This record gives sequence, C-alpha cells and structure tokens, in this order.
Amino acid sequence: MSYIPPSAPPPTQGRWLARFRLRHCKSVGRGCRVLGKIWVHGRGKIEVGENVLFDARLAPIELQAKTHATLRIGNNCVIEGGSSLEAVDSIAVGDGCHLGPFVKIMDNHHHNSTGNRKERPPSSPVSLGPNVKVGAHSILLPGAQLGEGALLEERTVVSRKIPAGAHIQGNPPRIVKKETTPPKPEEPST
Amino acid sequence: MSLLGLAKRFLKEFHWDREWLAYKFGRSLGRLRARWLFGNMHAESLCVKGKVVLHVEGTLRLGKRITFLEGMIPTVIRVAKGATLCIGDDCAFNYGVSFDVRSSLHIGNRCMFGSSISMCDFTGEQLKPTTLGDDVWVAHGASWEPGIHIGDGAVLAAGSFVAKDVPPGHLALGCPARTMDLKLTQNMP
Repeated sequence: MSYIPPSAPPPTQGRWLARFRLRHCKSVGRGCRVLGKIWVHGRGKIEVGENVLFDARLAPIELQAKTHATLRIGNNCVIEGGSSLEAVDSIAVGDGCHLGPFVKIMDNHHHNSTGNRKERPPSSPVSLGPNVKVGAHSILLPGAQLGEGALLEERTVVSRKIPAGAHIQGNPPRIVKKETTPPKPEEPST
Repeated sequence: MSLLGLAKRFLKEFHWDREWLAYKFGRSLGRLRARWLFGNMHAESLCVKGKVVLHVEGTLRLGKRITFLEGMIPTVIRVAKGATLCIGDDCAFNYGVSFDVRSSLHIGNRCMFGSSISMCDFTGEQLKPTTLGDDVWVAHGASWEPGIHIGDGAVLAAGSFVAKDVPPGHLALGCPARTMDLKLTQNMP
C-alpha cells in the first residue's frame, strides 16, 4: 500500500497548506497532504489519520459529515480525485486503504424508495477494513462492510458484508476470488 | 394586546432555527443566481445553488421550482440546434448532472436526480428521443441506453445501467438492469 503517484510533490512540501485545507476536520494527523481542491463540510466530526494523501488534482474531493455524524479515515490512506464520502451516521475507513477516483461512499439513501420520498430513511454504518482497495467509480451503499484486504474492481456497487481478502467485481457484486494474497505490510514511504 | 406583546409573541412563535434560516438564505441566493445564469430561459422559482454551464442552441423548457444543487462537479446543459429539453415541475438535480440533448429529452414532474448522472439521447449518429415519467428517482451514477422510456414512479438504483424500458412503479438495479416491483421491496430491509 501507501501508493504515491509519481508526479506528486515530495511529502515534505505543502503540509501547512494541507492543514489549512483540512481546517474543518476535528482532528488531522501528522503528514497529511492535499493536492488540489478539497471540500469539507457538514457539522459532524471528521477525523483524519496520519500520512493521508488526498490526490484531488483530477476532480475535487468531498468529505461530508452531517450533524452528529462521524467520518473516520485511518493512517496511510490514499484518496483519489472525485471521490466523495458522505456520512449521516458513521463511516470508518481503515488503515492503508486506497480509494480510487470517483468513488462514492454513503451511509444513507437520503430518500425512501416507497412512500414519502422527502423523508430520510434510517442509516446503516459503512466500514472499510484495513488495506482495502476500491476501484474507480465504485459505489459503497449503506450497510457495506468490507473485510481486511478486500479488493473491489471498477464500477462495483456494494451494499452488504464482504469477507476479508475477497476479490469483488460487478453490479450486483460477485466474488471473483475468495482470497487474494494477503497484502504485505509495508513501511510508509514518507 | 399591545404592540410589544405582539412582537414578543411573534419572536417566540416564529421558527428561528439556524439551519432553516441558512436554507432559506441559500435558496434566495440561488434564485438570484438562476436569474443571472438563465436570463430569458428563466422559469418560476428556479434555484441554482451550484455551478451550471449552459450551451443551449435549441429549446429548453423548464417547469416551476427546479433546483440545481451545489457540488464539486458543475452541471452541464448542452442542447443542440433543433433539439428540445423539457424538465417538469419540482425537479431536483444534485451536482455533476450533464445533459447532452440532440433530439428530445422529456423529464416529468417531481423527479429526483443524484450526483454524476449523464443523460444523452443519441448513440453515435442515431437520434433516439428519451422520456422519463413523473416521480422518477435516479440515484448516483445511474445511466441508460438512449431511446428508452422510464415509467412513472420508477427508481433507478445507484450505478445501474438500464437497457430496456422500465415499467411504472418498478425498481431497476444492476448492470445490465433487472426490474422488480417496488411493492415487493417494501418489506425488505
């Protein structure tokens, strides 16, 4: 893990700027970097771990925690451009996760499919285990719980529990391989 | 009752919620912005909260009380010459919705659209008019084959790709999408 795009500036640069851009977060760990635009809003708690890289040069990143919501991002994560995390209840992203571009994570459907569409349905928390890789344009719907080291391919839509180390593809999702090789714990390159 | 008493009662009973005030303020700003952006295409109570890019050479018919929400990606409305885009009353669009219309696209009343949806009505050179019924809810990232008809009250689930017509009151999910009746999903979690 701890993928750093080759064109990214060295990790010693732009930390104060990142601190400024993440100023609406409740806590920000050491060594976070933000490339490009990031949109942090909502009145909930957003906690960002250490050495997180927000690579928003492709498109802006959205971090949203509504009132009384918690959005937690673990250490050594990489979040690429265009991805948006919307927490109404709670979202937890584990250590060393990699979210590809235009990933959407939400823990509430925001509208009822039947009955009154203006009402907000009950939300169910989303959690990503450590070392999860999520491909581009994937959508994690309420109730998605990814085990440790799970791997999602592009355009996967998940709304249920996924076992650890599984390789998932498609919409509706199906398991391609039950267990991928366990990712080796690497030293962060910062 | 004295004037002071009336004022006190008004202050007590008036809904001074901070979020409600922020919502109202944002909405009035959005209506001003809509007037600026849309000019003579402006419709009643049109509210633009985010960035909207307009390339309109054909006809654009907007209903009342349409909302374009704020977000990371701008909304793009592109209507070619001789094409028509009709949007009904009370529709709401999240950010990143892009319309690319070359023949005709009709959207019914009270529709809801999630973020990053692209709507087009042509495949290559072929023009295929597309219609959406009333009360349709299109979730994030859903898309469809041009030339289909989506019935009233249908729901397109997140990330689905719809290749066939959706009957009214049905849920389409998956890629390619399968449809199921929304009445069956009522008892599901």
